Amino acid sequence: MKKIALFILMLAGTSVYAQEKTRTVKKFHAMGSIGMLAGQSPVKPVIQFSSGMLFNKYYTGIGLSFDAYRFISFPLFVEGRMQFGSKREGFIYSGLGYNIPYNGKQSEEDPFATKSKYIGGAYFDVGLGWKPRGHISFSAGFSYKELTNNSTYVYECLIAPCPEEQSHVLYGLGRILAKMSIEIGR
Amino acid sequence: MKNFRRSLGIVFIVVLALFSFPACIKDHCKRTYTYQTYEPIYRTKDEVRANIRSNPARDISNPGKLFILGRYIFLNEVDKGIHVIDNTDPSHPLNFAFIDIPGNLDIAVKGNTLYADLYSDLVTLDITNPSQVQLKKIISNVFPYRAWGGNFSPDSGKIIIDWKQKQVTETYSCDGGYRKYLSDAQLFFSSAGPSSPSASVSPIGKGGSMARFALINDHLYTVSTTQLDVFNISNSNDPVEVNHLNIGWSIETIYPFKNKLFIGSQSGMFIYNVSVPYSPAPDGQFSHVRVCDPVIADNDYAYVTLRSGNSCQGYTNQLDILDLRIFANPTLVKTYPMTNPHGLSKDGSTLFICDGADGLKVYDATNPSNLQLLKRFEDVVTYDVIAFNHIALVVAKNGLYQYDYTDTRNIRLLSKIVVNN
Repeated sequence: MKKIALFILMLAGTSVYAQEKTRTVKKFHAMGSIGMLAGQSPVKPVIQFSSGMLFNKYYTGIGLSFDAYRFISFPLFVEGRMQFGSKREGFIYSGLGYNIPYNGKQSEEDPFATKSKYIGGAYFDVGLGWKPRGHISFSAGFSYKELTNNSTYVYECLIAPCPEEQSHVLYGLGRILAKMSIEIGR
Repeated sequence: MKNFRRSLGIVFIVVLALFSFPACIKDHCKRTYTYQTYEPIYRTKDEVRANIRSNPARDISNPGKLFILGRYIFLNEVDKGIHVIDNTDPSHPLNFAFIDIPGNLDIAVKGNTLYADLYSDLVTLDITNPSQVQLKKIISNVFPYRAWGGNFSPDSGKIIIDWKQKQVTETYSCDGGYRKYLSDAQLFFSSAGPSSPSASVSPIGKGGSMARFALINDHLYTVSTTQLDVFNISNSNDPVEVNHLNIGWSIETIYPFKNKLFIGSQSGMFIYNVSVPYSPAPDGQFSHVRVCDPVIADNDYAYVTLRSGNSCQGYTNQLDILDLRIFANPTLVKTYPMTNPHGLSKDGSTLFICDGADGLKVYDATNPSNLQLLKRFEDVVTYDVIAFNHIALVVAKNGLYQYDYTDTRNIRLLSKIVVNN
């Protein structure tokens, strides 16, 4: 977790440094996206919001997702994007951040667990996009999120405290992310 | 347009490439379990028998059933043996010896003879001098074999004297599915207990309501989950099994009163007549919902506590008072709601009820239809009680308490032996 935070800070610092160094025109840029996540588990929807600054063909910003793949979670990430092509219709993007878990009832509950809690983990995505014209863009790539489920099982006994068993399950979920975005700015 | 097509082509190639690496598009799952395992520590039968004697006193850590005889208290340490406590001065009880009896859960004392279970064996001890008890007899395999959790089978040639606890952490890939089940080495429960306190009667000995051993005159009666065993103890040091009856299922406790045995089960209370001591005969029963139910009785009434939770099923927590004047058909006099009642005891018109985390409750039971709460001790999680000769011995989670109830309006704590867990 510390490493992720450090990386996010470094990424943000790099973008600020780049802004001062190049002295290019900077513009506010924001995106709202909906998409699908497909992998080993059933396909689930994703909704993303990201906003930041566009420096010529480079974009950097902060985003938040609603990610329903296997476990509901909310990835918070720093996103970078580089446009290419004569009209900058193509772009590659990458995001890195922290996957915030939802600690309410998940679809994949262990009925034997006495207590259950979800802990967040790393989030990462990378992909390619295409913005034909206007404010609509399409992109596809790889997305990865981690989370840990900590469960406690308490066994029956006559006199407390009863024996307990602890389970920590680390999930690393790799998926294909395909999304359509509406972009503001440029 | 040319660039546009090129960009589109690149996007498709990337998606195609992603699908070509299925190892990436996968749910990885790594499961780490932390749990306690218990490895048995064995001794040979000869070693165990040689150690059944008055050894130096030990701290009380997991108290079970209780028996008092004269100035001595015999307190079961679950599965380990018996603490011998000199209670000459109830304000200053002295824990002075420990009798090692592995697998012990139940006790009964008649005169100078103590009967105890050693897993499936019945042990007879001469306790004339509690500082130097003597093993007199062991009858093998009279009680059901202990069954353990998981698939564990003990070494049949040896005896388990203790368990070595270990914390184990295992990590492996899970990829879906729930937790794995207990390994064979994890033994969190056994068929016989840990149940709870005490046994009963004869030359002055008195046991609690959680007992599985009961004494009436020259016979020892023991209950296990399904059976009632009868031992002739006319020669105290030489008990002989004289009868063995299958009496039902989920049998929990036995309480003797006059020539009756009150047997508590998870489905009801059974009354057996022992006018013919070696041949108990059914004499009545009172059915209730499926819960645990210690029972005591006096001349006219039976007091049955019903509780739920843990190994006890159901959702009932109450005290039922039954009219026994027609033994064959006990009738309910009144039900009193409780929190989680366990053992109970009655001396004269004073009724003591261990109501789990709700503490010890003391009632004036002069009129069973209208119990009057005299006192409630809230700060003890109680388990079983023996009220005798104006002293109430209470087994609680954190100690063995003694209360003086000479004046029921001023019940006072005399002493406490702390439990060291």
